[in-house]
Amino acid sequence: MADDERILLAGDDTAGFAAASQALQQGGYVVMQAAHGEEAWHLVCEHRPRLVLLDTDLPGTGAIEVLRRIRADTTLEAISVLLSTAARPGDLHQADAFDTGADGYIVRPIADAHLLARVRAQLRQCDLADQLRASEERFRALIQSQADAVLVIDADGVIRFANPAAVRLFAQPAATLVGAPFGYPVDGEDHVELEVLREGLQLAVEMRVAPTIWDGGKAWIASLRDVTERKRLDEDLAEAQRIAHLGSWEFEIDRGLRYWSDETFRIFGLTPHSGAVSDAELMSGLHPDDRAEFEAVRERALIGAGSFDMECRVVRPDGTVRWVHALGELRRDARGRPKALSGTVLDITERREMADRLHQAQRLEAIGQLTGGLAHDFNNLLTVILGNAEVLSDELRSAPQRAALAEMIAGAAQRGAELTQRLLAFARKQALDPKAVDVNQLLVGMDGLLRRTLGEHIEIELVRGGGLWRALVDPVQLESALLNLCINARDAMPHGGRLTIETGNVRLDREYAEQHVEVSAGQYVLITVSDTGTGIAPEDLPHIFEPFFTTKPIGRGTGLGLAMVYGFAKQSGGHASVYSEPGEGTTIKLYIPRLQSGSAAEAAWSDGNENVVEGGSETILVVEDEELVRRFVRAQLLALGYQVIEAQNGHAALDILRVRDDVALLFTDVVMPGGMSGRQLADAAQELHPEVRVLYTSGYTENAIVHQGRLDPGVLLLPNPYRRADLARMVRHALLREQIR
Amino acid sequence: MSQYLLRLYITGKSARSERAITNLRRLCAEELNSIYDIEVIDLLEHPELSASERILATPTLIRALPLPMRRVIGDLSDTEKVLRGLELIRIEPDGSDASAAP
Repeated sequence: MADDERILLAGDDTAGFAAASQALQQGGYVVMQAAHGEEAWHLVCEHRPRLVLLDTDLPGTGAIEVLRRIRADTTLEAISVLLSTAARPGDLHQADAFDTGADGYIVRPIADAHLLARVRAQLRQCDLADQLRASEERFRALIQSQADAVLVIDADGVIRFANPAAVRLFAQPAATLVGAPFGYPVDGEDHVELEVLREGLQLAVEMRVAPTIWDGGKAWIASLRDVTERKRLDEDLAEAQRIAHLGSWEFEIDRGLRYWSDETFRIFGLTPHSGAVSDAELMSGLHPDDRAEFEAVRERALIGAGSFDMECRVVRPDGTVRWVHALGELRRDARGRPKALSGTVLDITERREMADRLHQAQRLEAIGQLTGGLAHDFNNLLTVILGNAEVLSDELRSAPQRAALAEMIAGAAQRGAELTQRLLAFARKQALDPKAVDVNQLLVGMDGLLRRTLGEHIEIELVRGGGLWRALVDPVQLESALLNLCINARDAMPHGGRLTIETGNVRLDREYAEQHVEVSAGQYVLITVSDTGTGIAPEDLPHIFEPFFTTKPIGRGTGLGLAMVYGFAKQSGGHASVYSEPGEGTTIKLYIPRLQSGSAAEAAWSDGNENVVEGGSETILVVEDEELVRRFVRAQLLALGYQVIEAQNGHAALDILRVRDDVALLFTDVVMPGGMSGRQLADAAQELHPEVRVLYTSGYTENAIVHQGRLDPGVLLLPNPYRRADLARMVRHALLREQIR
Repeated sequence: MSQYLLRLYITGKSARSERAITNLRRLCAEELNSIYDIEVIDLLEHPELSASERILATPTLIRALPLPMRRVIGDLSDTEKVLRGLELIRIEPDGSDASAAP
């Protein structure tokens, strides 16, 4: 028994405490005795006994008064008080005694053993009360020091207690909070999110609720955490990630757990969730061809390199493929052991597609340059072959067998010329003569030709858009391009099918233009040619506009058809695009610029395909640097009855013009060595002789007379190579027409 | 005449506010077999009410009629707890009325 188990017995001799004292001392307690009330109160204050036994017959200050004083002093609340009284029925003030705070009542005389047992029982109860008080003390201290606001809410939803953090959260004194209605707290599975309006500020709060007992009644203890700042940071970060298409991720090495930000989920086409991301989720999101490399890069990062950097493909559940750039770094713990791999993942699909398209466009441009140069040289040769073959066939009219040979040469040269024409078209070097064209009308005009070309096993559907704008385009070349597309469609449908040609007006916005290299925003007439044929394999798609690329059997295709269409569309200020699904068919879209009203080209076009060879006697100055070509032209013009003067370049031609005034027509190549172009020569010639007419020729038109792919107004051009009839007609036309410039 | 007048206090048109409104309407439609009125009060529009009605946090749902007033606070998705907190009479699955409040 502890030394401090002090017991005070207060009563006079009649109380019989002498025997009791002895019994208690034998029981191990320290016993004090007081003979009257004041002494008892003095001893209580001095020694703070654990238990006081007060006899109701206590002389002086009465037992009830001593009891009242003890209970009035909170520092003495741990003291147990028992009252003892003689067994005088009807004289008991039990109710009084209990009301004043007595813990128990003894009726004497009482056996020593019984008294001892009562005291022990009382002290045990005392210990329990002490423990409870201590525990409550700790609990209060804990709540007081909580960073979270803590409220105790009773069964009526009224606040019964608020800690200092709650006072700060609501900015209201505890006295106002206690007694205020809060409400029956309805919580979720873990916590519930609330808003608190404090002095005009809207705070985000997480509330967690647990049942408790408060002052003997059912109650809730609710803790509220201000998460405003955390939420704002989370939202800012998520917003930034969403805008940048930049997700973040972390891989905890020890536990093998992987966490993704919402944006990372979105990049993978998945619905964000808060738990760990499984290997299966990651791996099924990676393109099968990239998985091995991904694992190798991760392995290197984990065991040595310490950093992670790769571009790979992500396949979303809907099948879309996205290119991503993943960057990461290894983080180590304090002892230098690898702890986690974390980093970012950036969706670079648009950037990559842009780069691919740019690369594609640059490659086509380069091929175009090469092709254009080659075609120019070929044209010069073909001009000579074609022209001389025609001269031969004329001169051999009396020997039909040999004349036929000459005509074969001319025919072959003509076919060669058509090929070089396509090459020039692809290289955007053909001379276009754009006019106002009603595309619907042009298609109707082609109908018979198309049906003959495509054959009966192909159904042709023409869907003409209403209110179609007029296009600004070279109608002859447009027909040629459309015919090419239709022939490709036919070849893709060997067993028949349907060809659909559709027209319509479209506006390409800036966004579309930015995604497609070399396309400008604006208004276009759209011609869509679709077939139900075999389609184009995805790996062939990037190449289909390249010259000499063909999927047709050897001898069936030149590989120039789509190249010509592409070059023609570009040179016309439009655009061509292809969409194809293997097994479903192919759609080619041709965007032709809309004719802006009031433009100079708003003149109807007529197809003057005259075959009459008409000559004359005027003097013509021929300027051509290629000797073969010059000699050929001279022979042709002489045969037509003209007077011919030759010059090798612009300076020589000017020297002639200075001394002669009989030159009616200047027939000049556009591109010449010697520092003076055909255009410069023509300008100088007309300075000297304003009445001189000009006819240009070229196999290859440079910017001298062609701007943005179109002939300058009033300029006459005879494209190289040409038939004799074309030469004769154009020379006549040039000589007869009104001076325009 | 309405048997119940329910006032829902929210703060702004957040997703959480919308969810509370939806949950309350669904709860009333599914669980109450009597006539009721719902008033939704945005404290951002009526900031003075947070003091006069002593609203400490939102969403707070008050049963204004019949008296005595009852209030619940928090997530209104747990129908059982809301009904108990507001001492509302609900329809039991077998169709009979029963008091959900102790």
